Parts: sequence; structure tokens; C-alpha cells
Amino acid sequence: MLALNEYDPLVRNKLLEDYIGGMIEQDKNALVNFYEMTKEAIYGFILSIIVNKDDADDIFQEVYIKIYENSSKYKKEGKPLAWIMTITKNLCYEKIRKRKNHVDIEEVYNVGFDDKDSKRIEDRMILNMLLNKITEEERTIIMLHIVSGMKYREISKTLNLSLSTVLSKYHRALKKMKNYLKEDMK
Amino acid sequence: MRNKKVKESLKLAVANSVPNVLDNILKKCEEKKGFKSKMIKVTNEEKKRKFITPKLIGCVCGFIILLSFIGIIGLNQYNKAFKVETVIEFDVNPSIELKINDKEEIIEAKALNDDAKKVLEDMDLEKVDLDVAINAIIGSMMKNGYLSIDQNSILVSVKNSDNKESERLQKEIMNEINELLKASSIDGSILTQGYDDDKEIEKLSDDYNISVGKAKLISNVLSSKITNSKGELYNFDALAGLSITELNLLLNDKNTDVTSVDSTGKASDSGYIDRDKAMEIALDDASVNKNNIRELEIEFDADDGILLYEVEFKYNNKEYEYDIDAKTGEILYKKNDYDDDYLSNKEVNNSDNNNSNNNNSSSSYIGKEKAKSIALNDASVNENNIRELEIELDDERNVVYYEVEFKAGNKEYKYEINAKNGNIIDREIEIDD
Repeated sequence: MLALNEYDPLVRNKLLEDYIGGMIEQDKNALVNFYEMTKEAIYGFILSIIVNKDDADDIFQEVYIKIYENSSKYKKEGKPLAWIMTITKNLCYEKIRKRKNHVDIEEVYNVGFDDKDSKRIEDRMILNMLLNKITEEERTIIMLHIVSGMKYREISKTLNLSLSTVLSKYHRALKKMKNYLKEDMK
Repeated sequence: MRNKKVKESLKLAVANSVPNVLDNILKKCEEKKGFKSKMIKVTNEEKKRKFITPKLIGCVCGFIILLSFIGIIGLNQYNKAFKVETVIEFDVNPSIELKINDKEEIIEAKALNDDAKKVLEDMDLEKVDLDVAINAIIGSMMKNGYLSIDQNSILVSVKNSDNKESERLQKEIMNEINELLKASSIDGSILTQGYDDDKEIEKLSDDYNISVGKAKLISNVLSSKITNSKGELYNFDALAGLSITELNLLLNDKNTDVTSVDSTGKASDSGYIDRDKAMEIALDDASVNKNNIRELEIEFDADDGILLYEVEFKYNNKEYEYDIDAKTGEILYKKNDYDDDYLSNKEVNNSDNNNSNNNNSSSSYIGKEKAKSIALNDASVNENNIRELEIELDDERNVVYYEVEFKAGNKEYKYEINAKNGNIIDREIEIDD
């Protein structure tokens, strides 16, 4: 199955709506397909807000359970991704409120290295390194565009920012990441 | 380091970090809301099918008996009235499809997108003559603001197995619409084309949720090999989101005649800013006076369904690049970099004339040659043994540096050398794969 960012937006939206429709009918396959299609987009988005790996993993599960439970509340108007990301965002902020964890980013991003799988540690390091260097808003824009495959206009609507703000923040963040990657990948 | 590489690394890193919790999710979802087995559904459908089949056979039998009463002539007429002779698609942004019989009466009028639903609202066009239907549709498009002085272009695509008939209809409809627009003081631009069944085009139409006619027009535009401001060929993504007026504007600007498309009139540009305005916005943003810039280039372009101007110019020792939304004048993208040509000229001038003053900051730079020798010296590599040398001037947080890249042996070297004092800021050595 293709990742979300590889689809044309119109095809993507139609597929997502089909899967949500399937979930209303309690179709297990629809949920599985939906999960496979969106897992990177959703996890990436969570990581842009939540820095603690265990929390991110928890929220990741909660998102799918919430979507499955509330699938009938989705209004079919061609914007499934905005709906999905709003649910995800709300769960993230709920977690932050509960934890009141305004802990220093540097500190928290280094949690989660106890993972046994070395491949994951390496990727995690790239993520930590990249995400530590940019602001939360920049992270969100980067993740939504690169990992979730949302168009700039969709992002500007979802985050309530003007198109030019989204674009300039995106390019600035990308440049920062490029430079740090240059330094750190020696 | 290319943007693409950063994006790929990030995508890969996220993809590999996703925890595998599908089983957990399935378990919890089952507890909360449960799943319905697909098997039940299938048997339901089978039951339905079994239930319907005898009825259907009955209907067919009845129909055959009926036909034998009506006789051969009756059958022909009945067939003709409902036989789709021609399919016509109208695209503005609303897209409407009309199916007509050989008497040019409407068999079916279908809205192909949401805008079109608004246009066709409450209209019952069945059995109406084609010219009356066109009148009603164009009237409604004007009333709803889809056709106006700003948005004056409409695409008419005709599908009929007989080419001559298709051409005749295209002409007739073009004249008809032209008259209607003129009556409302709109100088219309009407594009017409014929089309046939084509699996590839139909797939594009499905994928992008646009009419077959528009998909056909875009693929015709693409095959005319027009290029964007970066000199690359356009792709479907860039153009699919444009309205017909916008596509038409782009074609007019690129001076492109698309084969197999007939057109009349010019696309209206009154809803868009012009080149001068785009330039003004860019210069304003850069706080630069128009009289002092060099090598100004302004190109009309489309990306991701947005029409824009790409404005490029040089000022002092920098080069600027802007993308300006042609509709709103918004700055979509901007970038400024050091102008390598400008600096290398300065370097030459400086070595020619040691008395040159230090007004320009670049005059105190060490120069590309010096940067190269510092890097080679540090790497202990002889100049004769290096490949793919690239030296660029760049800046980051007010530090101006030379980026020196080269390959030697099986290694790839990247240096950042402070342009003022020659210090090595960064050094990166990799095995060249």
C-alpha cells in the first residue's frame, strides 16, 4: 500500500472517506487499510507535537480507537485528512494538559533510546536531531507536508495560518534541517 | 545536501519509527464497538440477487411481449429517443455533462462537480432541445458568477463517433455560447475539442476528479511540451487545479496553440495582477529600488493548481527569487542568495587593483582560489587528483562562507570555509558511493 504522501489529494481523500464509511459499518478490513494508509502521517504529526516517545505511542493507538468509535460523526465533505488531524491534535493537547509537561525539549527528545532495535535507534536519532532544531510550529508544518502529504493550502486551513506564513516557515525549517543534517551526518 | 535528501531521510525515519500496534488497536476497537463479519453481508447480497432474478426475468419477458406489439418501427423510434448519439461536456469550473440523442434532445444532464450542482439546481433538462439547455446552463453559470468578465473561458468537449458531426456540433455550440455571452457584454473565450473513448484519459479524469474533457485538454497541453519558469515540463498536478480561464491564460502567455483544440477570443486577465504589479510587490518586499536592479526576469507560471509569477533579479551582490500568487498578489515563496558571478568579478578586480577600497564587504573575502587551497591542504589531497569540484559562496546566521565540495579517490569531501578569515567552519568526509 502507498503511503499517504504518495497519493494525489483527490484520490487520497476519496479512499479515506471510503475507509471511514467502512468503519461506520464496523468493517474490520476498512480499519486495517485505513491504519496502513495513515500510520506514518499520523505518527509523524504526533511526533511534531509530543516529544516523549512513550506518550507518542500511546496517543497513536488512541487516535485509531477514537476514529473507529466516532467514524459516524465524520461529515462527508471531502476533507477527511483535516478531520483526522484535528482528532490527533486534540488528543495530543489533552495529553499535554494532563501531564502539564512543559519539560525542556532537549531533555525529552532523548528519551526512548532504550529501544533494542538498532535500526530504530538510528532513525530515532535522525528524528531527534532534526526535530530538536526547529520550533513546534515548523515541525508541524514539515510533518504535515512531507510525511502526511498535505498541500500547503490544506495546511494553512488546518492550522489557521496564511498561505504565505506556511510557505515561509516551511522553507525556513527545511533549510535549518538541511544545515544540521550536513553537520551531524559526518 | 539536497532538499530531497532531507525529505527522504525524514520520511524514512518516521516510517521506521512507527510502533507496530495494529493488533492492539484491533483488539481495543473490537471491545469498544465490535466488528461485523463480511460473510453476513455477502450472504445478504446473494439472497437479494436470488430474490430479484425471477422478477427480472419476468420483466424482460413482459418487455419482449410489449415490443412485439409495438412492432419494428415503434422499436426503432423508442431506441432512437433514448440512444445517446453525442456526449457534450462543458467546463468552466463547474463541469456539466449532457447526453443527447440524434434529434439533439437531452437524455441526461449530469453535474460532474459541486459547482455544477449549483448551476443545475432545480433544472429539469430532460427531453429539452440542446440550444434551450445551453441557454439555461450558460445563464445559470453567469447568474452564479462562474462566467463573468474575469472568468470568461469555457471548454466544450464533444464526443461523437462521426468526426464531421462532432465538428459541426462544436462550431454550432461555440457560436451559440458566444452570442449568449455577448448579450451579457462578456467577451468570451471558447475552446472546443472532440474526444473519443480513451482509457488513459478516463483514468486521469477519475484520479483528479475532473471531467474527461478537461483531462483531455490538460494532456493535450502537456503534449505540446510547454515548460515552466525553471525550464521543466509541466505535469498534471501543476495544471489540474486550474480553471479553464486560468489554463487559457497560461496558454496565451506561453503563446501555445494546442493541436486539436479550436478557440475563439482571449482569456480575461482582469482577475489577476500583471507583471508590473508582481515586480512591484517583489521589489517592495526586498526594499530595493527598481533602477538599481540587474537581470530582471518575470515569468508567468503555474504550480499545484495556482497561477503565479516568478520574479528574479539581482541587486548589489545578491540575487533574489520570488513567487507571487497571480490572483492575490501574495508572496508564496522567496529566496535570496549571494550572486556568485558578481563576487567572482569583484575578486578579479581586487587582484588587479590592490588599492580598491573596502566599501563592498565582498572585497575582504579570501576568494574561491584561496578557499580551495585551504580545503585541499587540510585534506592533504593534490589538486590534480580531484574530481567534481564545486565552490559556492553561501551564508548562514551572518557568517559568509565558501562551500567547497570535491571528490578524490573513493572519498567525498565537503568544506565550509569562512570567507573572511579562511578558518575551516565545517569539514565532512564520506566514502563516495
